[in-house]
Amino acid sequence: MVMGMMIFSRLWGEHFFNKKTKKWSTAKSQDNERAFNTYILDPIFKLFDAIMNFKKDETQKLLETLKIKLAVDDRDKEGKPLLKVVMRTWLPAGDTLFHMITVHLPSPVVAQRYRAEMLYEGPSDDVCCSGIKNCDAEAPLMMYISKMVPTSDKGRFYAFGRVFSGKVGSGQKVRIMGPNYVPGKKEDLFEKSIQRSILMMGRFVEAIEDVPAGNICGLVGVDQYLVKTGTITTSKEAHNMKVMKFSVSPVVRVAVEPKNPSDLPKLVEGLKRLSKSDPMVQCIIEESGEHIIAGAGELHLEICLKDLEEDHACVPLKKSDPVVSYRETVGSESTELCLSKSPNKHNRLYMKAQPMPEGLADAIEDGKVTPRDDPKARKTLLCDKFEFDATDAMKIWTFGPESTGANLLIDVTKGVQYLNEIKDSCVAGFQWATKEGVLCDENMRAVRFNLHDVTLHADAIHRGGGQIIPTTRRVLYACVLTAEPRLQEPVYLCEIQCPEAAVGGIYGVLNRRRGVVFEEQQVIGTPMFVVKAHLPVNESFGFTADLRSNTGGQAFPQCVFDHWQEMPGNPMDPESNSKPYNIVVDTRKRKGLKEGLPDVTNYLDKL
Amino acid sequence: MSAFTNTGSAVVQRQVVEGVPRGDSFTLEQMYEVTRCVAWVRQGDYHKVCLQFPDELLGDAAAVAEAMTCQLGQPVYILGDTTYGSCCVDEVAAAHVGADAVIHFGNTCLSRSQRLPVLYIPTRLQVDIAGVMEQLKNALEERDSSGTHPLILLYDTRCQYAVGKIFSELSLSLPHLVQSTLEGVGCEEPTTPNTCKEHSCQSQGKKSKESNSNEDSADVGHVFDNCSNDSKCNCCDSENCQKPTEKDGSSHNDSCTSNASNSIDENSQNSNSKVKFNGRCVLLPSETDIKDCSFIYLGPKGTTLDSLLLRFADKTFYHVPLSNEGVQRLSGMQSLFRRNIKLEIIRDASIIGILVGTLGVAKYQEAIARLKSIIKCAGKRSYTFVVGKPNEPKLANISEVDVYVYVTCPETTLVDRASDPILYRKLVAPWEVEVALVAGREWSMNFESDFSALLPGGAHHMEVCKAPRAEEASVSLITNQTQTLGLRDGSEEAAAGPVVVQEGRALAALHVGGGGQILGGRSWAGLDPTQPPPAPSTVVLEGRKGIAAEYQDEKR
Repeated sequence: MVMGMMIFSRLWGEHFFNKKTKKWSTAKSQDNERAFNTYILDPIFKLFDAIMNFKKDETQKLLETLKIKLAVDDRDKEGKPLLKVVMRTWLPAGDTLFHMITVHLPSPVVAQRYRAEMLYEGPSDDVCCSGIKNCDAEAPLMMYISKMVPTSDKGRFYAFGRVFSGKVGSGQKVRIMGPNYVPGKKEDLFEKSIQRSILMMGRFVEAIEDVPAGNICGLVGVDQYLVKTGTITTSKEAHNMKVMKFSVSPVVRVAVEPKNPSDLPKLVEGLKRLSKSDPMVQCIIEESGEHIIAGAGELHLEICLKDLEEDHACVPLKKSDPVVSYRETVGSESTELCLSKSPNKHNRLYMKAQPMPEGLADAIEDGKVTPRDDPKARKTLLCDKFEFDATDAMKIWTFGPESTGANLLIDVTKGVQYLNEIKDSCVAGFQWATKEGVLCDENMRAVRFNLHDVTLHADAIHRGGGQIIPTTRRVLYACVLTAEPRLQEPVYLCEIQCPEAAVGGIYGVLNRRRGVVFEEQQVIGTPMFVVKAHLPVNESFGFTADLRSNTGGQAFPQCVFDHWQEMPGNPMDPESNSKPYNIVVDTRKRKGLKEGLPDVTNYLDKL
Repeated sequence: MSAFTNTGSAVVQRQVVEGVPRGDSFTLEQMYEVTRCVAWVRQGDYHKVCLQFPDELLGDAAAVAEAMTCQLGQPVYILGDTTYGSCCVDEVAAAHVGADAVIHFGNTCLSRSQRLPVLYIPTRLQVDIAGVMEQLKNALEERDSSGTHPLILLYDTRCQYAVGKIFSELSLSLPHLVQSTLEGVGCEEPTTPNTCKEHSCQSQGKKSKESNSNEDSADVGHVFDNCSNDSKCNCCDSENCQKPTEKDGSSHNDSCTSNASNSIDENSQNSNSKVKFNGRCVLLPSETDIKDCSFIYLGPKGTTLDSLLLRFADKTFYHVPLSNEGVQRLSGMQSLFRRNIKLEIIRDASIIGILVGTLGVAKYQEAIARLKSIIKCAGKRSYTFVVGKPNEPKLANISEVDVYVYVTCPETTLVDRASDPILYRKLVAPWEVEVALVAGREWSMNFESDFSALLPGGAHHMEVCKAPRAEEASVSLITNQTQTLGLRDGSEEAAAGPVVVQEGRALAALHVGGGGQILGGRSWAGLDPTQPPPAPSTVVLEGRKGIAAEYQDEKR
């Protein structure tokens, strides 16, 4: 045993063993060998060599030394099947992995002590947080539900998650908080009893009376109050656990409709179930009446559609071709100070749009700049990193769409009367306009709107929401249309592994699909190459198949959403027949909007 | 006052949006049937009569009024710019002059009004009968020969005068063609006194007499205009409403007979079964169901057609536009699907506005009361609004409301994204509210745009329980967050009662969870008394003059 421990510690790092002298050293020399190679790799390679080259005697000898007993019907095997059996018996991956986990992953008691503040949204000194820190089974219950697992009962789910503090058990009355819960408010909060707590072991479940902190389990009876994830607690003061972030983003979408129109209610029900069961998919009914499923990519959607058709909706479906969602943005500052008048002509708003500084939109989407930040800290960040004017940075009215998106409404007026009175209406109009952009009703992104001046009616009733909200929307649209409107498209980061001979084929395929290679590297010690490229999501449909056929099946791509990229070409120029123009026209048609391009004169007023 | 209004030039210059003015092809008499109007007024002995015109026909209003005044020897009143849709009778405007009868000109939605006797004059649209026949024959040839199912001929009310002729000619080649009739809209009658001019509708008059004969005489109801009882409107029988709901006997025009029926079954002892929808009435041959029928619609595109398309969304319509564009095959499926999002909007909403879009259509108050109780049971709040014709600024003034349910006639109720200005908040129909919020009410492909069908006695009435629903939750397909229906257990509501104790004082907390809460979330909630008042200014300057639309120093 002592010997074993000693070798363990010498397997990694600069430790070399000389077989002849049986001496250890810390430097490589002619006749010694790295310990890891001697003790781990050599025996494995020897076994591989013996079995794969059909050296029966040697194999037999090795098996005996390793004390591997094979089952009767395995003994006649040879070559690869035999290798598989031997390796499975000698070094079973499951056990090995399990040992790894127990040896290397910290226990909940250790981990939660230092992770508590990263896991919990609330203050680090409240009861719940200290309960998590101490992994205390007597503290108030804190449990994070990370996934909804379908049950055999159609449309019902087990809520699967981890108990971080306290104890969860059958019959317990708990507070169920969705991701939008704010302490003290009632939104996204339910108080219900847990019907049953269960242990989930692979395919099997087993009822269990209660589960203390540090364990994972499933709950029955809370599924309808949760969408994808949520926090379960017994404390009235508890904040949410932080929501898991995905590195992927639902940018590919298909529209579905039932083959038989009368099945529509079943489709809607199925979509609701699907949006629960998949941790990332988004199921949305669009303004145009289309039922949209948005996923990470073609493959993800294929699986979702299959689940929807077979398990959730159980009706035959018609599916559209996948489409990409776009973002609307601007290329420069508005050419003029845009004015829109309210319907009663008694109020005027003057605004301008300009593109956000490089990187700010990403920072907002990554949560580095958020509407909930302390304004002072945010100001410092914006001034230092994004060259914001200090006064402007303090006068950000709102983010949008959904109050969190990557567009800003900034008040740059000087001493305007009644301005704070119309702020709410302006914000509402801004949320509306940034959600449904002027070009083709897609979200806006990376646009900064500056409110330069307003003229308001002296009488409050004539500057109410009814006058200001629609006007804000119109002036924002006018701003965009006078500021070189542009479309942004999502781009994948695409990693392709292939042997050197196939690299040429990859370039060919990528070039045809507007892909840009930015890195090509040999994987050290292998003949394989890794090619990294940016590939517009719109061009990725059928990419895998295309790549295989062009490289004789030797290239394996992996695509992950990476960033939004401005498309070259003016969407407002019908002459050019550019790609953005066609996208705008097609999207408008698909969404049932007025055909043709939006006209700036509808939004811009003259003095 | 002048500071708040402009010169009114905008109103004068405003373009009338839609509608076809009278062409040269019809005389005033053909178009407005002045003689019949006069006879009707005399018959009813009405003293103050209002003539209601849609915007596009207002140009003729003066001439018609003059002709009637001459013949009647008493002044008549012209109503224009109606409060709600011009397809409905504007009883409120009529009440302003204290009228005792209304004559409604132009397209009508055929919804019943409740207070005043009404004569509907459908007026006329130019119909090129030969052209229509030609187009229809071509289009129907493509129809597969499985067409033993009836084909129902529907039409815009303004095309009524030409329908008889088209029907009689078409039915020669199409034995399964069935004609629909309009409830309450008469046409010229040979029997009308004083009428000695040309009768372009004679063929129809005959036609309807014939079809009358094979009908149970009990079915022939009392008709709106008394001067022409028996020989027209062969299916104009009793109203949908029931006898007991008639109030204070003032309803001259509704004459409920005992066989109030809206369903096929009740008439099944007849050889023909009668189906009614949207103020139209169809006699179907026995053993056929309206579910198997196809439709021909004669008339311009518009809300009438939209409403019918939605009602029979899974059926094929052959639309004959009058403009010689050729017959189009239409189906309401797309627009029905498009409206599906509204169900989710309703379920997501926490405050639903009930937008009153009529003060004339019968039983609108019952409809509003029913909606209120449904919304309450679903754990949502409702507020009732009367704003006249809804438009963007009016509705956006109450931005707290998540969605409006529009209680109005079956044709105005369909506010579609494609046809109307984009509103800040969406308008939905009462039927959609019921489908979204009432447990057990199921979505179907027969959109019910007529709210009276949902009321007791209507074809699609469903008893709703008054007790609040237990809370249930699901996923919203708009926000992908939880949506809740039903009320939470009472305990919580009690805790947040109308009075809260704060720092030892009792304070009234109005509208907890409703408008009050939203007001609290606003960044601006009125003047702040803790702020010091602005320092009094010592210099007085002269301000600008004029209105915000155009100050005097801005004149160019």
